[in-house]
Amino acid sequence: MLSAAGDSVAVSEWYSVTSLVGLVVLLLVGVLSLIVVLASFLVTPRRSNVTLLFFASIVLIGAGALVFTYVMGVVFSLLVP
Amino acid sequence: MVRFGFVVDLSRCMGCRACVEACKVENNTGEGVFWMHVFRFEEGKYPNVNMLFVPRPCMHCDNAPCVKVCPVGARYKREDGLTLTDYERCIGCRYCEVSCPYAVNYFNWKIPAENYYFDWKREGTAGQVIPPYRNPDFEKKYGKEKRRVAGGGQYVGVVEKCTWCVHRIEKGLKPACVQNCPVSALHFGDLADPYSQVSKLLATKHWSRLLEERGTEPRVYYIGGPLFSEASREV
Amino acid sequence: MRCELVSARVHGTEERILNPLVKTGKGFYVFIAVFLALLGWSSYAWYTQLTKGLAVTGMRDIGVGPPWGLYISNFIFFIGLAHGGIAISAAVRIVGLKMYRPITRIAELLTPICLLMAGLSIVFDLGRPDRIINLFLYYFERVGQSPLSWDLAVILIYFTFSAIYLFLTMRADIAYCAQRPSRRGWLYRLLLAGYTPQEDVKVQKVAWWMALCIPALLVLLSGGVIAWLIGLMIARPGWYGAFMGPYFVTAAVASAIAAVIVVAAVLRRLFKWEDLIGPEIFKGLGNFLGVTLFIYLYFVFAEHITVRYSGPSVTPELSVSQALLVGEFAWIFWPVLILLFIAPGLALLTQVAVKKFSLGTTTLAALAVLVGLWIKRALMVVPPLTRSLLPYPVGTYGPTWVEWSLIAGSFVMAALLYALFIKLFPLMEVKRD
Repeated sequence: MLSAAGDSVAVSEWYSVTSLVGLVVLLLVGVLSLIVVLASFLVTPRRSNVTLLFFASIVLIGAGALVFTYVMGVVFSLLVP
Repeated sequence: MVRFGFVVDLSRCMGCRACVEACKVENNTGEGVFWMHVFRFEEGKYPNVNMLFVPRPCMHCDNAPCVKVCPVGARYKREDGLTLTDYERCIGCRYCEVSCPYAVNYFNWKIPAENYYFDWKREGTAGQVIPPYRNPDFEKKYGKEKRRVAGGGQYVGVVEKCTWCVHRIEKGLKPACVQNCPVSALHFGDLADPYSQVSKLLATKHWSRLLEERGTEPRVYYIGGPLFSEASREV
Repeated sequence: MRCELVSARVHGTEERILNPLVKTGKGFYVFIAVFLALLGWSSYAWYTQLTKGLAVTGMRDIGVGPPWGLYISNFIFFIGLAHGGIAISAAVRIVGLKMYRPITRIAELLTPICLLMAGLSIVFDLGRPDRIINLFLYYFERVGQSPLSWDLAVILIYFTFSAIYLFLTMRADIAYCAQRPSRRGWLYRLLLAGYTPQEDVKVQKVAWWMALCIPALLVLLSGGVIAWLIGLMIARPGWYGAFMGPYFVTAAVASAIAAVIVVAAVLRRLFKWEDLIGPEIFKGLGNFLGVTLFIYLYFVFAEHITVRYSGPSVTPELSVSQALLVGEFAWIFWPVLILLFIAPGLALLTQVAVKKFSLGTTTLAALAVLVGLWIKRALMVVPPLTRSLLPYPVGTYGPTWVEWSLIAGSFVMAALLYALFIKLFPLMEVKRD
């Protein structure tokens, strides 16, 4: 049988469990990525230009992805009715 | 806090599909798109053979898989229990459609001009034919979140589904299917209010829900008899 | 034959490695012309889809057809192919299997290209590709819950790292090319910004760490987020379960190794690098592919055994298994299983048993596996989408010309990108032979 307002238990409870799953997945990904990024800093010789290149590439690719997506969005919006 | 719920009385539903028609007229859904669906079964052995009709609106689940998987948050759940789709944010990936165990989602495969029964832009006043009613409520944005969620078929490439007529609920009306059922088989109301009709029905009658074992916590309750089973013969 | 580079006097191995950059035969121009024409046709197909909506495909709502079809299986296929690069590099750097060194760049190049094509396949599938930016705008709101958002993160991270890996390890060779007069000197000098020969030591060490971590990331990709896109769906019989992770990873590795074998064999023959890329490379890869294939076959077997044992207790799942084994998909399933998995697997492992190795057989087997896995990915995506937990009609699927054209377009694009690279940069390490 149904209690007055008691059936609203499910909403936030299960979504927070799902979020935990997402968090774990991304933590794993984050840790692996962090190791790679730290490696670019810490391995000897600690030359700055390789580290600089590394980060410049990350920024370029990330920014490139965003810009490209935005431009493609504009192009597509001209075609999609 | 209001918590909407839907109750279906299986002992009353006679399969007239008035709810299906009402939904289509109210929400301007496209050709072949029926947000409200009624299953038809034959059950039992002679001489106790019956027809069973099971109306199936969207369940607006509490633990909705469609809300969880939407990558842009176009499918969202409101505090009052409604699970709605923002037509301006949806990217049309159809992941919600893939994840729904009840298959209540419909994707706009065609452009509106070809999807609607009547292309208002092209066919003007349509001469002798009365054009379908085009509900102006669909242009508005609803809810605290201010999202465009009402009505169907307006954008190509987005997913839509039963909204429990959110544009009618805003005005204090019942969903079109509930309003139009000639035998009062459908009920809608606030489950948080112990004196609403739906709460009273659920407190006094035995109820069940579709696919309860899947854990989706649907908010559509079926009273007045058992739901279909493996032994039911679908017609 | 036209020389792209002004006369250069290089000798021996370096000359042969740089041959594709220097000489361009008529065949290349024919290839480019044909593929550009195909690309044009695919663009027309895409234009049709954009202006008419996805109704021009064979996909439909549940109960009529599958809402996901060949675009999604194409996406999964390309993600699988992308594993080859870092897998070979890890084998060389971490495990120390130096014999695979000649093909590392050939394999590594596949990765960013295949990831791009995977992304392209997803864009083909979207109903509103003009709103893709929403995936980024609302990312942090959704990343907690949506497997698609996890996908986006992992694929982007993988692409970034594999592109950086390719770039950093290539710089020494670009420096070599930049020393010679050429029309592309400006490109080489641009990519060489800040280059000093001493950086190579650090690059190799960073590359080692990348070769260590990125394969672990890959397991989270193909055994993780991609699989969870499918395996977390309670609604779909034949999808839901923990099974998809290992299933996907095995298929991904098999398809990646097969792709490396085929591409390396073709390039080896095309540029006459038979002695630079020795047959023992293909032997090793072929053995690995054979083993992976049989692990994959085990998964296929386990999948159906599990469902058929329970029988009607799991009716929707049984319906999917029936569709594949005896139903409407059986005419695809059995030929693929026998001709494109079991036969190549036997061919590859027999070579181990009788100790007689044939490069032709290995390459043919790899090609068969590639085709088989593409089809099998489609068989994995579509049948569960035609069935439901509630008694709706069974869907049917007939892919249209638009879908085939766009999928062909993704392969054409991949080939063109690969060809572009071949003409600009050396495919093998020039200096450290």
